[in-house]
Amino acid sequence: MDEMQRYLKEVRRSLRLDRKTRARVMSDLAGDLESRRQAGQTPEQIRAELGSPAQAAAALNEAFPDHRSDASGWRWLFVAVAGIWIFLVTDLPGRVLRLFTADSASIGIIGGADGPTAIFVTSKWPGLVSDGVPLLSACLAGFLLLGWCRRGGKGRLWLPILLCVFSLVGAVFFGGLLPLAMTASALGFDGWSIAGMAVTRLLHCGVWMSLPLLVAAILRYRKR
Amino acid sequence: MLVLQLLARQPSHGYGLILALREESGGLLDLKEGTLYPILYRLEDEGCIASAWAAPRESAVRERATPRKVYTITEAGRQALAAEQTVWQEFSACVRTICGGKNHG
Repeated sequence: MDEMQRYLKEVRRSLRLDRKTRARVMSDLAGDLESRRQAGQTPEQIRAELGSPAQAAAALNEAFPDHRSDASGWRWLFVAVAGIWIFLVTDLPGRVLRLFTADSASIGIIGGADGPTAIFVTSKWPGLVSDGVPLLSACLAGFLLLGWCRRGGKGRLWLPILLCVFSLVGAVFFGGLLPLAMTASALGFDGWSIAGMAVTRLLHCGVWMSLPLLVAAILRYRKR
Repeated sequence: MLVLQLLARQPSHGYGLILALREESGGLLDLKEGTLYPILYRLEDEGCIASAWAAPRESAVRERATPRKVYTITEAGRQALAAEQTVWQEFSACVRTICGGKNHG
């Protein structure tokens, strides 16, 4: 990779423009750097005229105030977390696949039969929903907070706030915290054991994500 | 108007326009890419100019040179240029009249 390609790559990394404008700018800039090179300018001269990649990108960012996109690349981390959860924890692709294969018939028979296997197979789904819905809501809230919410007005922040609240409520009521507390107290566990189990359940439901996201969304709402 | 005027003479890529503006204005109009691109994209979105990838020369193909986008004025662009020139002439004539007029009193 020559110096001008590195320069272009660094400019591209610092551009905060929507996809279409970024593609437009980068294609023109690549062509113009080539023109400068063919006109006999050295990479040093080009740098002297355009400035560092960060300066060039900053000038371009300022030139397109209506096409700014301050979305953070970190938002894809939330998509990754949701994806990993779906693939690894729920085995959802495997479940969907089995619906269309010969195994699906046997699942139906097992599910319809009596005994512990039937209980195991059928009792997995409610757990997936009660754990998954809060976690996936939190992932969606994080994704929106770092992307969509950075454009437009502060009203957009209401969506991640509501998603986080929904996630927390879901974790408490459907994620098993309330049933757990009731069962544990009925079985005579002490307070510390119940608290320990409750924390484990909350972590399992994605509260570790939705709670800080809720705080961040509220703080950003108040700051705007 | 100046960009349209330059493109009315001949199609050009971005850096060609920057050079032409700098040279013909005696260095007064030294545009940067960040200033030129918004003008080009607005004109293109309005249909006043069109862009196309220039076919690279044989030597450029050998050197794996980056293809360049060349801008061309359209018929709508020529009409817009004519209208803007009329407005500019009226405006500059008005300024000349006022500034060149004798002081009263």
